[in-house]
Amino acid sequence: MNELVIFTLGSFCSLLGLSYFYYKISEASIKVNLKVVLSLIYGTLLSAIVKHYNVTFVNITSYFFVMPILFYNLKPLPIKKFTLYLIIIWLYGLILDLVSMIIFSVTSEIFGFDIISRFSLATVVLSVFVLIMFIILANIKKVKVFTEYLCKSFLKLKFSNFSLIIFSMFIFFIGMLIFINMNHLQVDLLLFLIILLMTIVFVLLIKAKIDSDEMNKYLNTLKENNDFYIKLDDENRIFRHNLNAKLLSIRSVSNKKAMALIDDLIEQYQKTKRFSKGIKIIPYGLNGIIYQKLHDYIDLLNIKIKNNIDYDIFKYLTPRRYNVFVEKLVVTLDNAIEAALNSKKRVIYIDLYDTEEKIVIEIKNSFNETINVDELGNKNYTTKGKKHGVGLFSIIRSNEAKVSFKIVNDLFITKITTKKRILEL
Amino acid sequence: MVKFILVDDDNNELEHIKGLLNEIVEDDKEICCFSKVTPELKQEIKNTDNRKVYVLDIELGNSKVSGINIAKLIRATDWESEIIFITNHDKMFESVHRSIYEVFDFIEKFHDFDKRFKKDIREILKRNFDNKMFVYKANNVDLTLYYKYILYIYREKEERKLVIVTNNNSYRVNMSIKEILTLLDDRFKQCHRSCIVNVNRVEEFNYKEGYFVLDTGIKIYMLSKKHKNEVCNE
Repeated sequence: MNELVIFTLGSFCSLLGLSYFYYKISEASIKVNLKVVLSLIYGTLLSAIVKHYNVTFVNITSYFFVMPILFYNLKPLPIKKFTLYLIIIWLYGLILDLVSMIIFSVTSEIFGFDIISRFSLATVVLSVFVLIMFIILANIKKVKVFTEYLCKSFLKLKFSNFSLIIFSMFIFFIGMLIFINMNHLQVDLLLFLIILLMTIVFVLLIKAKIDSDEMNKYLNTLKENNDFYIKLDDENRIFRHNLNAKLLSIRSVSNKKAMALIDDLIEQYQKTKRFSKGIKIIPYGLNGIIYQKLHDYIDLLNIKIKNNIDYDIFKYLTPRRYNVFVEKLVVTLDNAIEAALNSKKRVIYIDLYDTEEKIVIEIKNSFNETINVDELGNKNYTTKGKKHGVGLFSIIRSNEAKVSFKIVNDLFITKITTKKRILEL
Repeated sequence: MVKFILVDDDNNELEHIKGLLNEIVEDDKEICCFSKVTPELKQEIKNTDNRKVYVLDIELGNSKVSGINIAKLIRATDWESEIIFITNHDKMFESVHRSIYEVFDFIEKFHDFDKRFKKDIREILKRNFDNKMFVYKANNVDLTLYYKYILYIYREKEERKLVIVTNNNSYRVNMSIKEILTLLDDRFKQCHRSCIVNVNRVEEFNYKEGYFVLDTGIKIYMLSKKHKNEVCNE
């Protein structure tokens, strides 16, 4: 009976030390209520009985039967953090037990105490020692900071890694139990443990699989959305870049009033694009576009224009094709003018001709640049700097009018070809 | 053998040019005369087997087709033949067409024609039709350069691409030094582990200082003693 009382006292000290440490680490407010008192009594008695009847298996695991209830009543924390604190405090307890036992053994050896005959008393002394150590540690700031750091590091872990650590510790713990109780281990218990382990592994694997599938779905959706927005942004950039060309296409077949409206739009949205308004009478169709584009550069460039087509091209092309053809012509002209202006020879040659089936425009210009031949025409490739690299890419795309590029002896040649439509008689 | 293709609507002029050619060119030659664009002329243009010199009158009578159109036809397939234009006009055509069609010369009919024509033909024969070309096809663009225009080729350190340097421009291509050497002729020599030079365009090799000087006056520090034999064999 005396032994049970001593063990109860020892257990109470241990529980008190652990609770105090948790109370300090979790920054719980002082809250001694019935639940706390009851869980403290339950824990003390359970630990004392286990020690008294020397149930080794339960003795080691008793911490996990008692402390979660006590800790939770002191201060409930999020499950992950709570589990971590539970494990960390348990580890501290193990270390302190080990240290106290070493100190006690050494002291006993020196002073000649007989520990075995006074085992229950020694347990109480050890428990009191651990209680004092826990109180001291709980009040050391560095220990608190270290514990929080440890907890944060674990919290940063992914679920799979966290599960792996917990599971590894569990395996280690179970392994330790089996090793200690090897002599009187029952087959039923062993089977139970194996089934428990397999179930845990199975559940974790299923969880990991579901998480992985969900993550893949999420990443795929994210990638699809990302691709969609990149494409949308590209289209938007191309639209803005080619807006001037599109407007000029309409302008080339418009009457005076429509022209005025389009000029206003061009001025409003395309301030950086240059086109001359100094021509009093603007020719109809492609000629008008070419003259308007080049008019301001007559004195700056060596320009030759050869137009072998003396009919209205608009009649020979579908509206869509005409739009695309003009858009490509304007973009090419813009590029050609810019490149020629920066070159030594400053040459631009425009040759417009037709065959039975096709209308062709060839623009040749001199240039002085370093060209990445394999990248030319690819998206975002430019020799001009950031926010460029749309022009050539945009005109390669549509098949309504085909574009080919050649470089022959420092001369850049762009050929735009489009099919004529068969006119009904 | 050199083939001379003369196109002029004036028969007297054709005979006159023929006479001049007979006077200057002693080697094996063939002279073909045309007064307008005919299927035979088109066939002749398409046939690129022989080295040719085209002498074209710009204005061909009342014909819609001019000498410029013929030049365009020639350059559609043949960049190696030489073209000489004969014109009544002043220099208005020169700057653009000279660049666009790689025209050797524009000679005015009524201004020292004989003297200038002879000088041009002698120059062409002396240059031995050096119109060989380097051709590289990329995804979106075909690059064609006269060998004579290429100054040197070097490998970039960062992107590991070859850079072909001409008089006015540079072109980056995805090739290795070994690969490009197979596409070039003997005038190109490896003078450094990452540089090939057109020896015809070099005025000075300085192995001591490790540079060569191009005929454009540019000094390039990519000359290694290790490759001295390759360059000197030339």
